[in-house]
Amino acid sequence: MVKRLIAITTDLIVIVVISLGLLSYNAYAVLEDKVHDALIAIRDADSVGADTKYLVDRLNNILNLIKEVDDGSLKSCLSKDECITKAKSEIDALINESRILKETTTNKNLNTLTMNMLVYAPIAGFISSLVITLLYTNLKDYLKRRIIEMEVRRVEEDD
Amino acid sequence: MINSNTFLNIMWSRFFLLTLAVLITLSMSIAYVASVPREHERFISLSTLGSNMKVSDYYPTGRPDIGLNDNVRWYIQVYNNMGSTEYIAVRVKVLNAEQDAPDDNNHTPSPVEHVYEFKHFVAKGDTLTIPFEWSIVSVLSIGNEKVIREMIINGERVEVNAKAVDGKNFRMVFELYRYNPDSKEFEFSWLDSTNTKRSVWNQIWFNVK
Repeated sequence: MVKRLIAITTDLIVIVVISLGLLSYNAYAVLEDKVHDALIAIRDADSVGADTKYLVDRLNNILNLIKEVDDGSLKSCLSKDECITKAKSEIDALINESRILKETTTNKNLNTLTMNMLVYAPIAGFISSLVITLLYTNLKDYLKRRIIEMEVRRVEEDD
Repeated sequence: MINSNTFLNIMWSRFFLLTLAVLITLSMSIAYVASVPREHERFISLSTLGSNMKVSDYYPTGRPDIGLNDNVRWYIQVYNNMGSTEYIAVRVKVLNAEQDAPDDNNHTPSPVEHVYEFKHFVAKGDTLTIPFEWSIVSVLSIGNEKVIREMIINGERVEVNAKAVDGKNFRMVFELYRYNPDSKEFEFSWLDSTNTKRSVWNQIWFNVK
């Protein structure tokens, strides 16, 4: 009876240990997927020309946090779970910020393009055309005047 | 001075309207073309620098002979000009002269297992500099061969199994791997902007005293 009880207790301990191991493994696998998602989000922001350097620095810090979980050094948090939760929430915040940065940059680019196309280009075109037309008109008038004011003289031909 | 009548005449002149139309179209085209991102050469470079962060001073004594517990400090630099943030891994391998180095023609890595690896994100157009400090802590002499058994790399104790006759011509190989988001794997080769396969690695030779 006692032997059986010990065997059941041992089995239970083994099951709990394996389950905990699997749980922590899954959590780490989730983190790797999240890192992948963060990279995709940053790349999306890159594609519209956003400056993502500070996001990349933050992602590297998260990577260090994950490394702490991996090698068990745990310098930034007290336990593996705390590290994983911290990394998860930081990645989520980073993905969110990347999306916001992408939207902001897209809007900024669109505004710049609209301003350039609809305001600066017509103004530059108008001023340039005015200057060119004024120069052309004045030059034309000057040449006209010169022709009108010309005197007809008889050229003495040398014998 | 131009009076208002002359100004109006100029404004409604055929020459002015034609010039205006041409110049506005031209300015708009320039503004649009300037806003379109240009295609550039895509590449990643990997360099190993000495203790002074230059391509010199690789060895503490000035000679490539490294003794037990000699502290060697190098810097690994990765420059990302791929046009987007890259997730890279640098794998360090210790080889002798006979073992296969990475193949530049087939773009395959050295078949030897790596002893150390670091992963990092590199922003577009950015250069990553990683200090690489190493020392040999255990060497075994078997006949005329010297076998490096253990090293400390960036404070991490790593097991090595590299042997060379008289401890001559060991090499530290650095292979650059790029994370491919499609396969979710780190890959040794990738396609550049001209669709040509590329891979990046370098090596530094040393002897064991």
